[in-house]
Amino acid sequence: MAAEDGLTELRRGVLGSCVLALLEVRPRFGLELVRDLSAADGLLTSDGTVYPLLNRLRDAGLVTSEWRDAEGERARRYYSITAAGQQSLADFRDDWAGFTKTVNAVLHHDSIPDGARTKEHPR
Amino acid sequence: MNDTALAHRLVRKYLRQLDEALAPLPPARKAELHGQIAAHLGEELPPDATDAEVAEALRQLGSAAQVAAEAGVPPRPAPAPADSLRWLGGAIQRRTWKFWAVLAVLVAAVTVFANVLDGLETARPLSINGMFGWWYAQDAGRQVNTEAGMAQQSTVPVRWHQQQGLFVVVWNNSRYTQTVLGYAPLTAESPGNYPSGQLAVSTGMTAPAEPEDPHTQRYTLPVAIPPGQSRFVRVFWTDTYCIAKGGYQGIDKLILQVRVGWITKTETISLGQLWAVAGTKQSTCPD
Repeated sequence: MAAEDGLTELRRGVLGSCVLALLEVRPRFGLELVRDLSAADGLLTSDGTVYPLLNRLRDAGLVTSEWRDAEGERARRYYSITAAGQQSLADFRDDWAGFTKTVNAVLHHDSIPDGARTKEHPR
Repeated sequence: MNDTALAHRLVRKYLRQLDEALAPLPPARKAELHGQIAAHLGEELPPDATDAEVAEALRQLGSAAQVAAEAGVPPRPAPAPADSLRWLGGAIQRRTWKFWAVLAVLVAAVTVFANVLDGLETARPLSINGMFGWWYAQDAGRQVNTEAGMAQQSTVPVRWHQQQGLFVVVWNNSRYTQTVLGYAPLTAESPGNYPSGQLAVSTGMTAPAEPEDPHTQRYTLPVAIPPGQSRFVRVFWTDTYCIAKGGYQGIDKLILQVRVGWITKTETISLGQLWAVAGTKQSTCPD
């Protein structure tokens, strides 16, 4: 697999949690989320893929959405994180910390952390 | 939403490609995603976006196929070499007069079909032309017209749980009969359009120079509008959402499903101004 393909897959894997992290700060509307993700260099390759992702997160109960029609502004659909989304994000933060530690250790030929050693196959 | 940007040739083409790419999805999911992408473009692009600006926005958005793939649409399998292709290869080698005759007929037929299809797809969308106003006299009598820069707005007090509405004249400035089928599927999710809205089109219409009273017309759907003719479009809604004093809701466009020939497409008709209902001091909002 080419390095670029690997990065693409990696982005896909973490983008949902990054969206949750942004929504944890405050509710955002679609274009605002896209701009914030684009500002994080290299995280977003196609703006349009954010919307299917948001719909999947909503279907999974991790975000909710509502229309807001503030005076003098266009109506926008705002997305907010749910309690389940916050729990999912907290879990991901824990997993991500361990994962990056393991990957860094392997990539830089450091000693592999105990928790990441390959288990022996059952005989 | 920025109507001008959504009416841009490249945006319309992209949204058509998106609809095709999302075809395998359930209609509600497809309409939702279409609405999200359209809203994104409407907000991202300035009203007078150049071709280059639109092209760049679409490039950043990603191809319709990319968006569809992210939405769970499986990629189309690459076409396998078919028997017909093998036959074609053999026929080319044999170079019989029958082959060349069949090929010529096929090319001519495809060319004619493509031209007709292109004409239907690029037919000018319906547009506002002539009369417009609030449907009910009690609203028309209380309307307040304001203007800020290029933005115009006609505002009337909301009559909560009562029907309100407006009428406009739309003109078919294309070479094809256009049949209004109703709101586009995405309308229910579109900002600026009332989910409870009822749309109807008049069955008859005099020339814009001698307009009739819109209230004496018969309204129904679907209604075919021949080339060069106009019809009244009537929009009713009943506000059930609370609008606090100082707030307002409005529509500045109609997003319609229109059939042109054998093609059904979405047309966005700018209303030229925002038609708004505003909260009043009598408005009672539920807790």
